[in-house]
Amino acid sequence: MAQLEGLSLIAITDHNTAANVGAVMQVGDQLGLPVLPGMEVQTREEVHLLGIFPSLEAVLAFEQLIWQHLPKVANQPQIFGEQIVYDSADRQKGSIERLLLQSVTLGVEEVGKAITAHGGVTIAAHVNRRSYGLLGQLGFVPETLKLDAVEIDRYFSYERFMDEHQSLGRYPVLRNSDAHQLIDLVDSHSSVVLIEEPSFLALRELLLSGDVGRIRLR
Amino acid sequence: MQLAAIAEALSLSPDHGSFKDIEVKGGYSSDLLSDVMGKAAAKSIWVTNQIHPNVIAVASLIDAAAVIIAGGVQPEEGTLKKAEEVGIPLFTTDLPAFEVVGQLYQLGVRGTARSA
Repeated sequence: MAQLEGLSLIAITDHNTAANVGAVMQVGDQLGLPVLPGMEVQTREEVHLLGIFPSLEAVLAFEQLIWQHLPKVANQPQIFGEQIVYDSADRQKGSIERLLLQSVTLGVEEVGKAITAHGGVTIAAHVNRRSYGLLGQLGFVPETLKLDAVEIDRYFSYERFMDEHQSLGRYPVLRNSDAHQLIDLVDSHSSVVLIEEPSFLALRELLLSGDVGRIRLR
Repeated sequence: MQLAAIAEALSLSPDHGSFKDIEVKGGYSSDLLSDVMGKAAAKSIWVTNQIHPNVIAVASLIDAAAVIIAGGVQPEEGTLKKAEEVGIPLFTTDLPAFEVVGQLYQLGVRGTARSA
C-alpha cells in the first residue's frame, strides 16, 4: 500500500512493541521499499515518544529494555482489541498477552536517553494534540530532554503550529501519517524530506543538521 | 484559607524543608500541564498525579500556592530540587486525587479558573 501511494521511506512504530517490525522490513526488502524500525513509547507522563532506529537488532534491544518497565497488566481484547503479531506473509503468528496501551514506568528523559543509547533518533509524537503529546502533558519541552524532532499530525497546519509554539522553532518539524490502518497511509499526510538516500542514516543526518529547509510539510 | 491550616487538616507535610504560610485562594486539579498553564488561577492549590519537574515550573509560572501530588506516587528527584529552588510548597499524599479534592472542598476551598 505504501508503495502504491508512492512513498519512498516508511517507519513502523507500534505502541510499546516492535513485534511486527521484522515482518514489515522483510516485505519492504522484497518490494524495494525501505522500512525503518521504530517504536512509539508511552512514558510515565503519558507522553508519546517515537524512537526510530538504525537496525532491527537495535529496536529489539530497545523493546526489551522498555518491556522491563511495562507493567504486567493483561490485555482485555474485548476492550482494547487483539494485539496480533503477523509474519511477512500476513499470517497471524500469535498475539501479545500484556497490555500495550499503557504507560511504561520511565519518564520522558529516561526513554529519550534509552533511544539515544540504542542509536536511535527521538521524535516527540503529535505534539499538537492535547492528549498524549509532549506539550499537552508537560506544557513545554523539558530542558533535560534531548529531542531530534517534533511531529505534528495531519490535521494541524504548520503555520498555526509555529505561531503558537515559537519556542519549538529550534526543532525540525515533521508531519507523519500516523496511519493506524492502510486507508490512512496517504502520500500527502507525510513530509517530503530531501535526503541523499531513503535510509536511517540519511534521515538522522538531516535531523541533526538542523537544515529545516530540506523538510517540506504539505 | 491558610495553607498551614490545609496542611494540618489533610495531615500533609512538605517534601522539602518548611513552607511560608500563605493564603490559598482556591484549587485546581488536572494532570495536563498545558491545561494548568492556561487555566489555573494564581494562589491556587494544585492537585495532580504528575511527578515530572515541569510540574514545579508550571506551578511557579501560574504562581500556585502549593502543589499536592496525590495517589501515593513519589516525585522525581529533579521535581523536589526544583520545588526547593523556586520555593513552591510541595506535598505528597497517599490519598487519591478525588479524596484530596473532596477534603479541600469540605474545608471551603473552591475551584478557581482563569477565563480563557
